[in-house]
Amino acid sequence: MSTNTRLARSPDGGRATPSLENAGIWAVLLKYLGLAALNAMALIIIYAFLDDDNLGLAIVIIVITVFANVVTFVPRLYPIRWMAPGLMLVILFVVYPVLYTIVTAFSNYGDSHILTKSQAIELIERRQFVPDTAQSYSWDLYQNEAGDYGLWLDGDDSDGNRVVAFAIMGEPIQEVETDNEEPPELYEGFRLLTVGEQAQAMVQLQNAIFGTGEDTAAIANRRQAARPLVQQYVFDEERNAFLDQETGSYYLANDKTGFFVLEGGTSSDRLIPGYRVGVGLSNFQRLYEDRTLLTPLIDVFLWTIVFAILSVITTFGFGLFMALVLDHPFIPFPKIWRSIIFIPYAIPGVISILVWRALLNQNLGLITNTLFELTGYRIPWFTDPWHAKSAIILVNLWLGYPYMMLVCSGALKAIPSELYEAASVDGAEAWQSFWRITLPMLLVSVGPLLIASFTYNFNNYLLIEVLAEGNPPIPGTSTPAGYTDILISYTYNLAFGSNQGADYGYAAAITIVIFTIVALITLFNYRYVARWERVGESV
Amino acid sequence: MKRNRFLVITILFAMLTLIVGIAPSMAQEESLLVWAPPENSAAVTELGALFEEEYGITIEVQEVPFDQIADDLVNFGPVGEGPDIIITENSRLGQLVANGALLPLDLSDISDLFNPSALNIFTYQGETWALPFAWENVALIRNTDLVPEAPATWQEVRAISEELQSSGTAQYGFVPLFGDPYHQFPIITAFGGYIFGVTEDGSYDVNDIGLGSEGGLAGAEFISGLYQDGLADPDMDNDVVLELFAQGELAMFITGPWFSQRVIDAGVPYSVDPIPGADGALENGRPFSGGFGFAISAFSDKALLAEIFIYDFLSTQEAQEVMITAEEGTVLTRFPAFNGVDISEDPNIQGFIDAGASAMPMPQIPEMGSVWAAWGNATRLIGQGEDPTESYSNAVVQIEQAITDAQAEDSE
Repeated sequence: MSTNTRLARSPDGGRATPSLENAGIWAVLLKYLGLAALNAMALIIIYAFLDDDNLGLAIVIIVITVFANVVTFVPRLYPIRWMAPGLMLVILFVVYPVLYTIVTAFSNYGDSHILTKSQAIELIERRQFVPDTAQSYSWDLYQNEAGDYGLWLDGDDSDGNRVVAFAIMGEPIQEVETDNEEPPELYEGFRLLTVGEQAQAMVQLQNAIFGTGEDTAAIANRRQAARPLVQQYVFDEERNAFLDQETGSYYLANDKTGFFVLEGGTSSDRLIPGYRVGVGLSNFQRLYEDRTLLTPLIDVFLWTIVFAILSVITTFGFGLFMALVLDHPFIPFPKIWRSIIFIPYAIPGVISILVWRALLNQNLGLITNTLFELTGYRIPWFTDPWHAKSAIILVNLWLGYPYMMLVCSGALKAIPSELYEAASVDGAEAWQSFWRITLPMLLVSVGPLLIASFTYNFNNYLLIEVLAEGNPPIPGTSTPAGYTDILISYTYNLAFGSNQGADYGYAAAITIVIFTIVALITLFNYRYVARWERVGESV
Repeated sequence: MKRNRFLVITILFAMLTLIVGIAPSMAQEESLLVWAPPENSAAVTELGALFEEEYGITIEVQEVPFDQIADDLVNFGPVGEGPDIIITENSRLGQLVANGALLPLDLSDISDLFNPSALNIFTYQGETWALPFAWENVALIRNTDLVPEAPATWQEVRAISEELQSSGTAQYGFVPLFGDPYHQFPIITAFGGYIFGVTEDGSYDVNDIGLGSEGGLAGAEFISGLYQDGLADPDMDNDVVLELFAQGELAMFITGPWFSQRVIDAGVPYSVDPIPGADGALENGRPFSGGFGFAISAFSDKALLAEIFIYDFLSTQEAQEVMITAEEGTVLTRFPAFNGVDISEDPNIQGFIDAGASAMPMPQIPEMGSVWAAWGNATRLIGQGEDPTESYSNAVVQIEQAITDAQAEDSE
């Protein structure tokens, strides 16, 4: 609309040419068609989420969609339009997951409590049983010309007498007298279906009931039909409990633990599965009280910080060194060297790490064997704590320095050469001008990147997990931990490790704690950067 | 311009009604969705073609990594995004059953078509949860030039190691896989160790952790001795072990049928033997047995159709052969669960199956999750020369703690 207005006030004095006006209409049409498509898609997604009980995500999509519409229709918000796609994605992929993590941290979401209450009820209500008084049969499926299905039932009653019956939907079940062991090909206009035809009918007959009124039969499974087949658990909204129709007892919903527990039974007499409930602060409490967790946690935390700092210092130091070397006028073909050195950065981390792991293998590793031949000492790279830690720093140096080199070479070019000229006029030596000019000027522009690198390494799960898996283990800890475990790998293994299933609530609580720590450290670092920047200004 | 806006709004609503109207009526053909891991997906696709030919039902196959199938099923199943059938490992049964994610199966009619051990692997809490197609366990691989007679006990294995090393014939007699509790379990069990005790009704007693038992500690002590006396070295993984074996520097090691081809490729004369026992304890060490099978999702609304696929179709030799056939030019990596599948052509499988005579199913209970990390660390520590009794005892403490934490969380 506003586009149109602008076009109407085009430079030729408001006398819009037909072609321009046409373009305007098409642009507007395209815009609204785009919005219509977006809205329609959003509507489908919202319906789907609501259908799945996923209120949170539905609300997010609604918010985003309303936002998109408002921005398009209100001319005053025209400038925001350029930010809108970015903002929408931020809401969807950053704000929502953060909120979701926080909500999860206060719930017992995890194995046995994956489902929401209504999902659990739906699942449990599906269960059926064959009552003691019911007759159970083996079954065969028939169909007549009209497409109605019939069920041939053949079984033994409680006295061991054979009972045969034929059941049609909505009609009384007929008892059949027969001496034939096999079901007939044809029965009263109904034809016995082949296994393939039966298979075709199965989806339709999933919950079908044959017979009428009190006397019904249904297919329980491939082996068995029952007359009648009864739903085992019926949810009673008023009592907030399941009635077990087989025993007549109730399973009361315990909304604190998220289980349906047998009335008068112990807490282990419960229906499977449980459901998701809010558990308040108990995940955080567990984290705090878990003494088993706290003992190795201090070691792990210290190593995490040391690892992140050393990684930044080594990669930056070596990267800067390489950048300075390649910056030197006497080095031929600097561009080619730079490209070659950058290659390690371009190779996917996992592959490099796996190669390093093989190179450092204690028995067959190329590096280990070469060093053994030279020194007679077989370095226990991954079985000795200090060697393992140095291996990690070394490999991370290899992975990280090309990036630092590239960033530094760019930043070096940006330092005004007058500064060096002035310094050399004042009689400064190369070393002095490096410390007084190059480094401070460099840190101004590279500082934020170093902080980003610190934060990244603080959570560098990939390196730790692929290179050493946190090994070697720390002996005598109250919960499994390794010398090279960093906070993220340690807690990941704690919450999800080694096939033990999932405890999302606990993991979310841990995530929030780690996030808080990283955020604080980053904040602290930025203070320092601010100081660097002041230094930069005064240079 | 007003006209424009009117036009636009009309189009907007028309599109809305159209799309919202069409969306639900799409799809809904007679088909079954199977989640299969990458290593089986080709076979399941082939099965699907056979099934469609016979029953007229399409089988859609989605590839999901093995270690994600269980997690994804319990998360996607309830919102209707899950499969009708999954391929699962027996070790995941505990988690799947705790989340109510599987339908129990009644295999009584067809049970005699299958190897009883393979069926037993998928029995948990008194029910069978999957129709197996393959199973596996480890065995002792022996270089028959270096060691002509199969050793009967681990004490003999040690004596052979010492002899080979001192005579300079080979560097190692036997090395355990470093820090690998799965492959070291048969040694521990030979000395009488176990993971969880068994109660009278046959279920596991999670309060009785057998790694710290007399037998468990004796096993740990034995393994520790190999490292202490230089008969084995730390940081030896599968690649190292196979390399040493190929060089003739290692006479014996423990591995499973998944490395059958690599054992052949090593190019040394070998034999696949049962796990040795221990003097005064068991006659044979007991490896874990693991299985792979098809299970029906409890969230599926096509359970009856899925049952036809499982009971009628998968219990045929034709279907089972598709699942177990080796790739061209290689050997079998797992044992067939179906009795009718012919394995006489395969050079190694019978040896592995024989070694499995003493095997026990890996416990499927969720508590097993607490065991691996603690036990794995203890196993590594022993390899690094730490005290075996201390390492194993501490692992037991860690496992007990983890189990108590998990129980406390669930019972309020």
